[in-house]
Amino acid sequence: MMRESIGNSSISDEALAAYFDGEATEADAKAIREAIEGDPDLVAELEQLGVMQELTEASLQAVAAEVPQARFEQIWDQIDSAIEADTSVAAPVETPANLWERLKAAFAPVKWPLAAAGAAAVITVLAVGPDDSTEADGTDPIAKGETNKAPATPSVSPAQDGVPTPDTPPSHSPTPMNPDSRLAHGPSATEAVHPLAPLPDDSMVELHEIDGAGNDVRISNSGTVTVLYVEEDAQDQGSERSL
Amino acid sequence: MASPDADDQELVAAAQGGDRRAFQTLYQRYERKVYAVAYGFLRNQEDALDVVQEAFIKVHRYLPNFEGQSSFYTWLYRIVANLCIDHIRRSGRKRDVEFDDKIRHDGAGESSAKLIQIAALGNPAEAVRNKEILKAVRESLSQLSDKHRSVIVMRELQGLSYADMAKSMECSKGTIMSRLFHARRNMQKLLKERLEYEPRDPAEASTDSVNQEAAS
Repeated sequence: MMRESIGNSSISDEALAAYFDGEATEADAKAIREAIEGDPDLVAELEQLGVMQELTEASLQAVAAEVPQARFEQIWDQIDSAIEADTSVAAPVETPANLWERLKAAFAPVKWPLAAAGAAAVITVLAVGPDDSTEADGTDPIAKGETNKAPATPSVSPAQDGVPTPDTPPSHSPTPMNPDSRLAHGPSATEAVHPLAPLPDDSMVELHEIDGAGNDVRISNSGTVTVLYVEEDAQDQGSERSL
Repeated sequence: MASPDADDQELVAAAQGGDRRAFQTLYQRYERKVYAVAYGFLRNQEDALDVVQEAFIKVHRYLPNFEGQSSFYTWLYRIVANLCIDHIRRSGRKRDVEFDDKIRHDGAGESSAKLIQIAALGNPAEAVRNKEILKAVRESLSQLSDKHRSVIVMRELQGLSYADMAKSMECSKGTIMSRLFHARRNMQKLLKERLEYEPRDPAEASTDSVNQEAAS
């Protein structure tokens, strides 16, 4: 580190610069103040530091003065947009409170009847089991159409385009199924759609009705899983799809 | 809503409360000063304007955390200095000639040479209005290495403390003290060389400049 002394004093250039910048230690500052009184070189050096500082500042301010005000206004517009974007990101986003709410929002309203039918069918089989599906009196609870445990309505009501919609009332009600044939065919009786009810605590669910909307409904039971097949009329299907 | 004449502290408080106009007033108050600093570091108008934009976006983002322990402009200048130093590092640029600390001012009789330089500048009060001298200062500054120019700008223009400068440049206070000393010496040398190429009477040059300004 260079330690030049100035004039006849023992004050180094760096120490003097630190004093000029207000960064000298208390002891150094005191020594420099005393030295300055009898040393014109030190005074000149301090003056020069002051002049250079003023010139540096003035030269860069002159550069800044050359920039048109409109340019700074453009910059502000960009800053303002960025602030706006920041504010938008920081705003709270409304989200459903829990998983159930989000699932309900995802399925409602279109998919509820189909989802309920599928869930109820599977839950029934899992809860009761294929071997237990026959009650003491030897009848299949599904075929009996009992609703004593849960009034769930697994009603499948295809609309005209074949897509189940909750707003379309069922045009046909299911025919109670024969456990031997496990085949239902409509149209037959009509029943009102039951409102969706929560699942019972004991998980015992029975299908109350299956609405095939005039199509064949077949149930396949492979032990633990029951699958519902809805067979559309081939001719109608073709004509609908042609639309 | 804060008045445009309010001091920085009031404007900052209003901006912290969501007053966008107050923040705009702060921007308008410091836009050119920040630009001057950024230009001093980067020597390029568009780069400097980018830093102005980036700095105020950053300031607004961190405004809720600003507790007023230092003045607003000190905080702002620290942000600007850091952005400029980052910009220089990112660009990875290096000057073709990095002035070594000892190259330009290790000769004997340094002090007397500087005193001659002061005389060439004429009256300091007039020198700061002399366009030729200001141009020579700007060109001398641009000839410094990035490190030397950075410490000159941080100290002379921003008034940052050695500690703040050391933090920004990731070095010790002792290094800053030494670097600043050598940067000033080099700056004086370069300025002297430039002014010696135009051996005009400083008083005359100064008068010409003022007359030109009055005429324009």
